Amino acid sequence: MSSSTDSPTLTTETTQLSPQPDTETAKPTKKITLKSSDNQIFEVEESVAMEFATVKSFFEDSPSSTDIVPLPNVTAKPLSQVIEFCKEQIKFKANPDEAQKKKYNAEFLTEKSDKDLVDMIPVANYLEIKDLLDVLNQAVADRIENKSVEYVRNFFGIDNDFTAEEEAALRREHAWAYEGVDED
Amino acid sequence: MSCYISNLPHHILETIFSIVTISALKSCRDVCKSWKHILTNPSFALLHQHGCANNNLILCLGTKLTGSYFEGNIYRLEYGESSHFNRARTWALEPDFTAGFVNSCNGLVFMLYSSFERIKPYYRSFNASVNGSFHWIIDIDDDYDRTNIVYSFNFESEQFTTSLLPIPPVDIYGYCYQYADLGVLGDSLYCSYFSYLPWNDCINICVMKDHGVVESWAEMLVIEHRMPFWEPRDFKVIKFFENRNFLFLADYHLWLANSKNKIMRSEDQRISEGRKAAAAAQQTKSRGAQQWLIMSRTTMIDNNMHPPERCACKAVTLQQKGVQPELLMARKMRQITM
Repeated sequence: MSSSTDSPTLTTETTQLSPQPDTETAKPTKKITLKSSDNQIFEVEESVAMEFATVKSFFEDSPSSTDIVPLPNVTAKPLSQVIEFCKEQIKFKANPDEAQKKKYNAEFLTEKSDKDLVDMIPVANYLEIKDLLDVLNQAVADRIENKSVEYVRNFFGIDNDFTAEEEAALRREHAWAYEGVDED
Repeated sequence: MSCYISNLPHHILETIFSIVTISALKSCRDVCKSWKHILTNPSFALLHQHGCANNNLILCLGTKLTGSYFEGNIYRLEYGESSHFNRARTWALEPDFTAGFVNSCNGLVFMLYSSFERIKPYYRSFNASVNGSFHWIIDIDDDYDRTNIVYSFNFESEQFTTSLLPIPPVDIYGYCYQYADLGVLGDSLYCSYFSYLPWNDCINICVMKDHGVVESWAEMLVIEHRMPFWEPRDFKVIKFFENRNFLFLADYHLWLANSKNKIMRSEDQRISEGRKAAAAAQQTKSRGAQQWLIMSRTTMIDNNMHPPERCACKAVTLQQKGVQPELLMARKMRQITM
């Protein structure tokens, strides 16, 4: 898969391929190009792209493909965050450090807005990144802990499709559920 | 933009729902129609139960039993490196009951109801639900002649059966001074004996390896409690953890016995004097179970239930015939929490 033990050769070649400035290690890694639904192009290292089960199977089906991989269900912003996450995970895979990984995951999650988190879930689901999906699910679960119905609705950006009467009936029926939730 | 989380496949949503706590589920349920549909589906209730972690524990302790109110406190045990107890909330039942909390099982809370002040037999271990049967033992409250009969009621066949406890440890004079308690460990019934004489201060745990076969009782572990009780007021194993640590109630306190033969006492969970201590546990996810207990309907059980038929029948009327406890739980979830 990755170019593991190849000797570091011609630095210029690789930097030229990669727009990322952090490729000082300069291994001739294969890049895979992904295209988001809003037509942004992402070049990622093959090892990162192979974290996406969906992309991986794309190449398993057509190994020689050099095409751009279209991701019609994925927009640029969550995709870039997902790529960022997977890059780090690969480092931990090569160099397992559970504590460090936990710390990174926690930081990754806390700095994301509610919307970012929620938007990443479909992406992680579509790309079939199980680790990320687990992490995101738990983060979402934590964030809606002890929150009101309104809060949860806003959190997920879901429209209230109950009529006023139905809503009033729910409130009557589940009066206790509306007690003791956090203020915000 | 209407967010596309609503376009997620149901299984993703269900996964999220299965890890959020019940308190959050209450809010999720009323978010929109499709979520309500998912969350009020009985199959989801089962998922939530299975998604629950085993590390935390909710306790419900009856603390006050007055003429007209039964009050209880719900505690959460944060079980882990530094185990500690948190009081989660206090709850009260409707007035007009004089009731004692007995135990809970699958979201049902069992109450002991008495209309007269008189000596009552103890009923324990209603949570011992194995193979579709409830099991319980009865202590007569007045002497050392403890019974060693296990009563059980099978929900499917609606049959009562009796069986025997393992032979209890006896002291050098042939008397046994201990409390017995029943519970479920894995798929097996276990019996714990709490002996409280100075020369025999152990807790013995026996497991019935083949369900219903008296000969298959086998001792699983013995732990010395060395506690300064002459006679504890009550004894009940609340919960076993995976590493064989276990939590128990004795003498109005909660104790945690760990595998290194050490016993830790909860600091502030002293239960009012003169009240029969009772505790129940739900081994569901932390924070989740507390709502279960709050939301559980109470099964009022008549005082005169010494013939086991009466008490179990009372419990059964609340359920429908031939329902497995697991399904029952699902239905309760739907009815109560959703």
